[in-house]
Amino acid sequence: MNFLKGNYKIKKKFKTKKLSKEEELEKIFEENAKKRIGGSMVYVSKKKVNWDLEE
Amino acid sequence: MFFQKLQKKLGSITNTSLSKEIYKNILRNSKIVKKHFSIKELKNKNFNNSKVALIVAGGPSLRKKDFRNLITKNRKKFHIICAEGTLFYLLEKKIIPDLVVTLDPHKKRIVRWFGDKNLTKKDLKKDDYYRRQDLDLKFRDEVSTNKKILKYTNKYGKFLNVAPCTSSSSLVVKRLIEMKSKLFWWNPFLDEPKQKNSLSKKIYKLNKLPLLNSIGNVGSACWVIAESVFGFKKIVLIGMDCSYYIDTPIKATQYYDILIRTFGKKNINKFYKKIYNRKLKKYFYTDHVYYWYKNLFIDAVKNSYSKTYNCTEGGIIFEKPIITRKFKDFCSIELIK
Repeated sequence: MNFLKGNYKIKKKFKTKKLSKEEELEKIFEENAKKRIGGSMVYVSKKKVNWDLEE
Repeated sequence: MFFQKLQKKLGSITNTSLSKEIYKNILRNSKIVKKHFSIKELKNKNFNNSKVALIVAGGPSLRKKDFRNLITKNRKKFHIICAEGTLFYLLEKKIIPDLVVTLDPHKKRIVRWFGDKNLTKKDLKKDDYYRRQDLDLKFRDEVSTNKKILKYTNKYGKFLNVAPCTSSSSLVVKRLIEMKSKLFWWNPFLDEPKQKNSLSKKIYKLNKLPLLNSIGNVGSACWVIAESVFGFKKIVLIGMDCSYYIDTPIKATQYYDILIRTFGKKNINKFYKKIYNRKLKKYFYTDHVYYWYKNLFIDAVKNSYSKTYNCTEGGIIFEKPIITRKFKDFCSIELIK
C-alpha cells in the first residue's frame, strides 16, 4: 500500500544516505536511460542466432 | 570510474527502454512477413567461401576514407553486406550491395536512409538529428539528399536484398515495399528464450522467424549475419568506428541530445572518453554507448571461427583477435590468396 500517503507525522526520524555527486548522476542517468538511451537494442549473450528455439 | 560503472548498467537499460516500441513494431510486421522471405533462406549461402564478406558500416571514416573505387575494382570478390545508413554512399557510385540490413525501431529517423517521400518542414524542425550527426555529412543537406536517395532507391530498389528486423518501423517497411526490394526478415534476440515470460520466445511463436543477436547496432548485426547466417570465414570491416574523430564537435555525437537534456553541460564530459588507437597511432574519442558496443563486438569476434579484418582505418576497434589492415593492402594481399 505504498501509494497511500499518511495524514499523520511519525516521531522517529530517518536518516537517508547522502549520495555523492557521481552517485546522483548515475541515478539520474539510469532513470532517464530507462526511458530511452539511444536507438539500438542489445541482448548480451554469446549466442548469435537461434534458428528455431530448439537449439 | 563513472564511465566504467555505466558500462555495467547498459545491458539491462537498453532493452527495457525500447522493448515497448519494438514489440509494437513486431506485432505489426508479423502480419506481413509471410509475404516475404525468412533470413533462414540465406543460411550458408557463402559461395563455398570463395568470396569475402565486406561489411560496410556507417561510421564517420567512410566518407573520410573513400573506399568506393577499391570496392568497384574488386566487386566480384566481395559479398557486400551493408548498414542501411551506407546505402546512399554505395548507390552514389552505382555499387549495389548484396544485402542491406536495418533494425532500428525509430518511428521517423530510419526511413530517411532509404528516402522519405513525405518529408515535411515540420519534420525537419522537430528533429535536428540529421543536421547534427557525423555519420554521413551529406545527409546534413536534408532536402537535397532526401531527393537524391529517393531517386536512387526508386531506380535500384528492385535489385536490392534487404534484411529488415521485425523491430523496424512502419515507415521503413512501407518504403521497402514501395522500392520493390526482396525482404529477408529476422527477429531481434531480446532475452533468453528459456526464461519464463521471455519476449524472444513470444515473438518467435508469433512469426517463427530466427532470432538474431544484433549486438546493439546495425554494423554489428551485419557482421553477425555474415558470420552466423552466411557462414563466411573471412570478414572485412569498413566504416566500423565506434568512435568520433578528435575534431568532431561534441554536438555532433550520437547521444548528445539526450545527454545534454538529462545532465546539462556541466556533467556531459563524464560520458566521453579519449582512446589511443595504437595500431593507427591516432587518438579518437568515444561515448558510453559506442564504447560498450565496441566491447560487445570484440567479445563476439573472440567467440567466432571466422577471421575478421578491420580495414576502417579509423576508430577504436583494434584489439585481438581483430586484424587491423589498410583496405588497399587487404585488397592487394588477402583477396588474391
